[in-house]
Amino acid sequence: MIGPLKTLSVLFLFSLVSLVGCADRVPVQPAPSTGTVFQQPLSEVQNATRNALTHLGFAITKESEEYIEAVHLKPGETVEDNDSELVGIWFKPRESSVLVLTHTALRPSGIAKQREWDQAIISRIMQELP
Amino acid sequence: MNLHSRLFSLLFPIFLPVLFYQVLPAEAAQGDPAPQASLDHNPVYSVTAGKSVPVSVTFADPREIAEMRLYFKTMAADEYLFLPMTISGKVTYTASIPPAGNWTKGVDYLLLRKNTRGEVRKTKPFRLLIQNDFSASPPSQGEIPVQTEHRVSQAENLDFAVPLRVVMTTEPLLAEAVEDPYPPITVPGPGSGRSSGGMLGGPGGVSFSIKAGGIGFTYRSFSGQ
Repeated sequence: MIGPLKTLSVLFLFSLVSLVGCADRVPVQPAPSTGTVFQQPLSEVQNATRNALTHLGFAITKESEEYIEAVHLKPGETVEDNDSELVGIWFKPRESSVLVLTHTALRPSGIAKQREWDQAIISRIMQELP
Repeated sequence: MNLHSRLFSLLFPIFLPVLFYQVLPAEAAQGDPAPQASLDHNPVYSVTAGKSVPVSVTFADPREIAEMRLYFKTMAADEYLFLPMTISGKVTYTASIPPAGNWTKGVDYLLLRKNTRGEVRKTKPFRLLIQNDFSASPPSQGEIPVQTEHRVSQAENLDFAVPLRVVMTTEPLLAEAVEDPYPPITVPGPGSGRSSGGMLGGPGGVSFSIKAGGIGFTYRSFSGQ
């Protein structure tokens, strides 16, 4: 009785590990308390964010009024074939300011070569703003 | 209740959706009096310095298109340059962004279309990441003729790896073009942790453990959330 149960468990575990390997990383919107407020119009903050991402080596893959998603590309990598971090940046316009939230989603594979980019992105946005 | 009232109460629920169906498209049409030819463009996200970037756009019905232009500029430049896009095949327009030099970092480009009714529309600008490549030999192309709508300083064009011959256009269109809205995307919600595959949570904010047959397995978020 134990033999078949163990075999089933191993099979189940194997399929579970395969599924986890297939799961895509997606940035998760962090809590508003973790964000940074910029006293600038939304369009200025969006432009500064695009420039900041490009300066840090990110290719912008998704863009809307409220969200930018970008992947960090090392030399030779492409958006389609890379082993790098994915960042999500949310814009929450207030009356005369914009709350910016960032989150770095790391890949399950090659995690040692990856890093959290949130602080670097915010610092670069500050530099890019007029 | 007379016969008319009965008939009304019976038929009203049937006609209500029909009424809405009639009204809603009419309202939608007021906002967009002339439907535009829908375009299909796969954005180019990155390229290594020294390589030109072919950009193509496909239309379901290109007969409506009178002119297509590819506008581009380095992210540091103020004004766009442009190239006319030429039709290749029956439904696809193409043009190539000239090769950018090392340290250009980024190039913005957008697609402008003028239809046969004279209406002009443009896409939102796309950002192209330029990756340095110091090992490649410089491109052997000669001067590339491009057009502009404003007087641009020659210094703005030095970021390209080939010399550009800039000519003023007689028909500026960019300023009058109506900008398309952003294409629809999925914006991750707060703490959703959903994977695009939809089978398991993504690596952000997800954690679970399973124990079966004496073997335990734990999966934790890599995000540190």
